[in-house]
Amino acid sequence: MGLSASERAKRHEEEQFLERGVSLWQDAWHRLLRNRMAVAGLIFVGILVFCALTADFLPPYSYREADYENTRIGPRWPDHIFGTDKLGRDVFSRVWWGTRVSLTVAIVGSLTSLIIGVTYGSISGYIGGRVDNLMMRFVDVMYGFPTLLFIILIMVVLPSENAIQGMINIFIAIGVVGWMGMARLIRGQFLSLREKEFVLAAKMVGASHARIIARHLLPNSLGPAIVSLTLGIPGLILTEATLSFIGLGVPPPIPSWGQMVSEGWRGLRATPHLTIFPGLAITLTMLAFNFLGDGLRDALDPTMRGTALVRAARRKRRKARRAAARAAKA
Amino acid sequence: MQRFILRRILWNIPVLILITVVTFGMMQIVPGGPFTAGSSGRPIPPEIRANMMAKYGLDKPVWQQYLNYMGRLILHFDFGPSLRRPGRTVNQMLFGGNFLVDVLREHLRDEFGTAASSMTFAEPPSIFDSKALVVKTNGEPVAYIYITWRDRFEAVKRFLTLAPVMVSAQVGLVSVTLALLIGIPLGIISALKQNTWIDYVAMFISMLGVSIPNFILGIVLILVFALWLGWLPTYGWGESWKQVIMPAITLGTGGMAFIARLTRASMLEVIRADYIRTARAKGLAERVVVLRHALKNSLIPVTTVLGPMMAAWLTGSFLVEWVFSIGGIGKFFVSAVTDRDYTLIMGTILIYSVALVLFNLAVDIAYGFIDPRIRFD
Amino acid sequence: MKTRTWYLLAGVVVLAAMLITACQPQVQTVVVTVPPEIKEVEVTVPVPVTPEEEEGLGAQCTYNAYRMGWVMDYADANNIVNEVFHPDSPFQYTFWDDQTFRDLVDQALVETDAAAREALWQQAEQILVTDYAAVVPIFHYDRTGLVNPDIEYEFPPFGAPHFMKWRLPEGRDTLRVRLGTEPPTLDVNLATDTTSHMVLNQLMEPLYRYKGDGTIEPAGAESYEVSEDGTVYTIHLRQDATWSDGEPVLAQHYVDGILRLLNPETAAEYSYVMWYISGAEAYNLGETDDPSTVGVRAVDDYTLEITLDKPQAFFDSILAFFTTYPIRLDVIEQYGDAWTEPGNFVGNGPYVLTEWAHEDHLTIEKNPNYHDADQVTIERVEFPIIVEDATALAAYERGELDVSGYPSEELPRILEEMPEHFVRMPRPGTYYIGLNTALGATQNLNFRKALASSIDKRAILDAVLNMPWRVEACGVIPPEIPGYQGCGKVGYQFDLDAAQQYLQAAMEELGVTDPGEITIQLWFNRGNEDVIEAVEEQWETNLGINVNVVNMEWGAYLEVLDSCND
Repeated sequence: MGLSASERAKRHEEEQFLERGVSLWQDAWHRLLRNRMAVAGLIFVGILVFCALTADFLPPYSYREADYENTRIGPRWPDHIFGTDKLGRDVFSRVWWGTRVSLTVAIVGSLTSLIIGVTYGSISGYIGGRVDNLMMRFVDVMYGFPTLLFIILIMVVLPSENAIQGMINIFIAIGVVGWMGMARLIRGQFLSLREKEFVLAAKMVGASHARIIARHLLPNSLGPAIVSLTLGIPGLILTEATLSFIGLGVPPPIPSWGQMVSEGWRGLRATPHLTIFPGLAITLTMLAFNFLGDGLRDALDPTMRGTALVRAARRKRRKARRAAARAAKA
Repeated sequence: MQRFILRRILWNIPVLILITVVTFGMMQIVPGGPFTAGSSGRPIPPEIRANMMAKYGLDKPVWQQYLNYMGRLILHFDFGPSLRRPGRTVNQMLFGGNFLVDVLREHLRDEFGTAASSMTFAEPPSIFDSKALVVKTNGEPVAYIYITWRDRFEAVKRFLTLAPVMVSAQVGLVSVTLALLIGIPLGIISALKQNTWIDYVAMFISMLGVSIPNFILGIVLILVFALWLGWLPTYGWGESWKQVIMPAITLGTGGMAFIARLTRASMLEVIRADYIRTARAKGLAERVVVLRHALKNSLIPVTTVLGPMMAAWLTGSFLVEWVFSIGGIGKFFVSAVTDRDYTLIMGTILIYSVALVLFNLAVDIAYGFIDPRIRFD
Repeated sequence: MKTRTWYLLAGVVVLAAMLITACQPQVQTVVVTVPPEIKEVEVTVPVPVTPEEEEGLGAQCTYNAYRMGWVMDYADANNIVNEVFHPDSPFQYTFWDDQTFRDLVDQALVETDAAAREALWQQAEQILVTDYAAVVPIFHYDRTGLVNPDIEYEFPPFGAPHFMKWRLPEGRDTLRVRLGTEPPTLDVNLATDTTSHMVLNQLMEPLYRYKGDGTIEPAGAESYEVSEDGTVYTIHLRQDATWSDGEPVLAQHYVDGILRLLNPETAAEYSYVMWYISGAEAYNLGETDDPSTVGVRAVDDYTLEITLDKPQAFFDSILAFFTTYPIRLDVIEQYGDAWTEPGNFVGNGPYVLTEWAHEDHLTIEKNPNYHDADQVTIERVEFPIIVEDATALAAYERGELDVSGYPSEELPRILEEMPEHFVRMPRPGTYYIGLNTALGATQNLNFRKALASSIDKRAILDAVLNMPWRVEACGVIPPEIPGYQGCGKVGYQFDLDAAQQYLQAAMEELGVTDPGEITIQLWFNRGNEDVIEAVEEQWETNLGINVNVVNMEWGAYLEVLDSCND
């Protein structure tokens, strides 16, 4: 080994660092924090969550407070900074409120598909064999329906007696069409993990099926699932906008970005502010989730495991060395 | 290989049949039927609705309706009459009807002049026939008309250019091509320049592409290129190449961004692989390494998503066809449901699922070319 | 093995749950119910309290109010007061009933004196709108659009324009008119929508037609006589009329048209319009399959005779309706379903169909065989099909279209930048909210009055719809129709004090102390968000009640309303 003393010391330090037993998630978190774009995305998502939580009391107006004297006015400081819509409602407050709706639709919608998909996929992947084959045939059938047509059929079938139910319908519709991809992904993970040494070892030791799934298979396949979920959320926000375009979106007067955009886009020249602000909200949110998703993918990539900590350790050491040098100089 | 393809096709037959069953069932659950509201938008009085239901056999039990429908479909490739477009069949609405009839009619008109309008064919001619019997309205035979190769070619040509399903396919094909031509290079470049400003700009552009709703992109393009600059026509398809540009951009942008990001991710994975390191170590030029070794392997995930993507795009995009008034079948995916045009719903769903099956099959076969290690068992 | 079974079971449960959630057609909701005995406190006209049977109300019929609209077919109040709002009409869902109203309608139908008839319709309207407050009219429709200002145009109040009367500027011979959808059909007996009739109106000629000023002029007919008892119409046809293939138009063609419309196998939507003809209803409903029992016959080649069950004073309006088009049975027989395609279609109108590229465009050209061909100056009319309003507007502004629609969102800009292109034409009709008189709080008359008088219709028209010229509606009869009464004479105007008084009275009767305890369901179909959101907001703000809006897609909406009304 032609390593110099200092190099050997460095190796040692790195190894020590790794041996401390950092969990997969902790490690991923550290690597995520090193990705500037992902952090920006994370902060933006944080702001969105804040907006969603405070939508009831922080915005200057209620999302439904009409003012027939001031309809469709452009952005105006300081009372209507984003302008007003056809009922004279404040667009700024509605965009703020829309955060809650759009975020809920996207997150609950994707959680629905995650839960269904993970359950279905893990059953199919774990049991394997004929059951797997049959279950995957069913997924094929579901895939065979055009998504849009299927969502419309579901939305038309489900009754919507009030706004809440209307939103729940959207969750169901999105969940019902979105789970197949997730199920395939989880099943694929399970099939390949099932044969891995550590799973076989656990089986040999006599671990129960539940334990193998819960402790070994699920955690190891959840990474890709979370990544695909984060990357799927922006798609859902767009799906909601498309549904609004057809007239099957969130029922009024509750605002969602998609609904605001699809109500306003035809008047792009007369009243651009009705499209631009909610449209901007959609675009920024999609960017944020995409950056976050890409960051997560890099962070959860098992081949990259540990690198962040190693780099962090190197950086720390470099800093310490520089500090020492400075101290020596002084 | 042949056995693999055959088996895949056979496997999909029960899947397709199940899809028809589920669709048929769902249509019964959906509140409102084809004759709840008339095309005038008014409710139809119940007595009159009963007449309409009887006319289309909707008063029969559901299982009987289903069997009738499937029988006609399988035996005669007949998707049935459209319920909301009296006088038109779903075959006409999807496939544009029998183009050979139009071609032969033109011959008749050349031959007989105005008298041709009182002539029809004893049986609808097909391109596999060699001749068709021309009869008068009262059934009296007039002449045989021979079907030449030129007629067949002309009929096929008209089908490829005019049939609604082909119009949608054209829009989809142009958009997919655009998405691939721009998306893949963009992905490669940003993977090779990972974490540089080139990477960031490329990814930002592609993310922007995904995050703008199609209809907004469409109207912005119309306003800019058609209205303000006046370079391109506002709507339509098939009359000039200029009409292709805006729909292709509108539909293609989202896919382009998606493909760029997918290519980047898989490229990043591939260039870290051992064999690439080996190739580099051998002293191969970077260009050769990337193009010959890395690219081929990083295209596998792109190929995978291409199947469903082509199926979805080539069967027509609702939004693009709506905004640019293109006479494809994409609009039917929405209007068939809102109109409760049962036969049209079945037709569109079947077209989509058959397209999905075919494109997925094509993808599987394409794997074999890209990666010889993948074998068909 | 056991675990595998368990997983299978779990899978089945998940699938079943999904199926149930996806298929469950109705979820029951709780609505505020009121004690059945209702006392009348503040009644101006003695109104008998109608005992409402709730049998028809299924679990899903939880609406207190629903949105609906009606565009009139012909210029008689019968078309709205009787055909739409009669307690037995299939077009209303309010469950209201009144014997005086029924009697008034029966009288009005046979009354031939115009003034007396008008008065009868007005009384009936009073009972419906004022006494019962079963319907809350919001505004009266009109027709708006964009037309190239260089063109001389004319829009009749009913049906589609006749392009034979339009004039293009010097040097042009092609008119380009945007269609918003593919015409569902050009079969003259089956077409009922405005798009199909935009085209059919040029290809066909009815007996009479509407002029721009709303009066009727003879077209395929020359004159008609009515028998003493008002039941037999003898119509004399013009003798120079020919079909586009040169054949003369005969009385038998008109008979064929009406009989084909009524034939149950044709399954025509508007066949009920002709039920006034004796024997028509029985034939249309399949009670008899003998068409000769229908009171339509050709006396000779150019004389048509129509016999009614009983005198109908407005029947001359029906003569101008598209249900009286003549048809050519020989053509229909020859081509079957394809008879409406260009080349096959034979019409008697000023234009012939030359091109129909489905879902893309239609073209019609001047019919040289038309009897009045000299008067037709526009050689060609092209109908590009552009579904999206925003696209159509862009195409119009580029000069690709002469007649077009516009997205309502762009209206302020259009009025400002291109007012000379904007046209506004009468289209008699009423946009209204119906109240369910059989359910919950809207059972109470005073509550219905409170709802009716707390909508600021003017603000909705001026600010929300941006159409300040539209007429706010208090009654259901539109201003263009004889019998129009106007706000102040019928129904309820926006009046907050009155609304509060009605509300107080209603709350006493309902035994409610706080209006916040009252929740009503307002149903509407998608596309009416503008108006309904405003109405909902005003009811909540002005009355302090809770309004739950439910929007549905049109097909589902009608189906649910219909099933409640059975």
